[in-house]
Amino acid sequence: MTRAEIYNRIVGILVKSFELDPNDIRPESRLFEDLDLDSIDAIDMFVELHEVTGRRIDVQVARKIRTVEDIVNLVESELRSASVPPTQE
Amino acid sequence: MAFPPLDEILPHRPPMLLLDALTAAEVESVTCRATVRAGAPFVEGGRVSSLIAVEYFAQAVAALFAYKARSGGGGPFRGLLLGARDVELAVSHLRVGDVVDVHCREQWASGPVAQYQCVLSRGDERLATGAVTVLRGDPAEFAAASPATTAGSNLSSGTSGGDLSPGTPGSPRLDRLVMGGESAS
Repeated sequence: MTRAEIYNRIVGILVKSFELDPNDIRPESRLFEDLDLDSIDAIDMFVELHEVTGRRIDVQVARKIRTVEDIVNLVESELRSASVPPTQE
Repeated sequence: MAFPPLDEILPHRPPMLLLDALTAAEVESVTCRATVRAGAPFVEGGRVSSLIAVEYFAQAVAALFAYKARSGGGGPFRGLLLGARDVELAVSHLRVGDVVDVHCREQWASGPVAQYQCVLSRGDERLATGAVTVLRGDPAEFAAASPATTAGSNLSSGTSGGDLSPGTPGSPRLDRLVMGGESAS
């Protein structure tokens, strides 16, 4: 999935889950201050992101997210990690 | 398989203990049975709003936590209902005498936070569905680590609802409620 595809997917989640206007969403949009999400919305979003990445995002990592671009970076990182085969012991 | 009576593992007590029994439990899922009774909380005129499903869901998840805590030899659990989402009600009311099954399955979890997809059914009829988000563990410890998460209702107190908007604790939090159908007879 390209970075642009990830971004579009995230915008789709934000629009569908929180009834946001896609025109209000930009990479630099802050989730709480600009998009008016709260911590429960954030949890709902991570449930949706689980569908995208197939991975469970750690709460401690999630707490550092502030903007839409942060989510894109996180998903990109998670997808990259998922594509790396586990180290053989 | 025999499960312990709910009043042995949950701190909820009548009339707010709405579930009759734990009927199935796995690592990530639980099924409980409930009967709508005259005189129970929120029952009026022989029926209760199907919104009661959200409390059924919360108590079933609490039962799963409590059962796992007991199975693991642990002491009393703590937990918090943070909110409910995508609640769809196929009927407007349940009637006194209705016997319903409450099934909840974990669909996401990370650290102390988890979301369960839940179904309320009567026989083969699906009455309500929805997701409940819960906090597992001591709410005070989690709130200290995450100031935005300071509200909600205690899963062990027998009440539900809670708003997690940063700095605005209070009213119950329910996102995307879809009501349809008429009172089922």
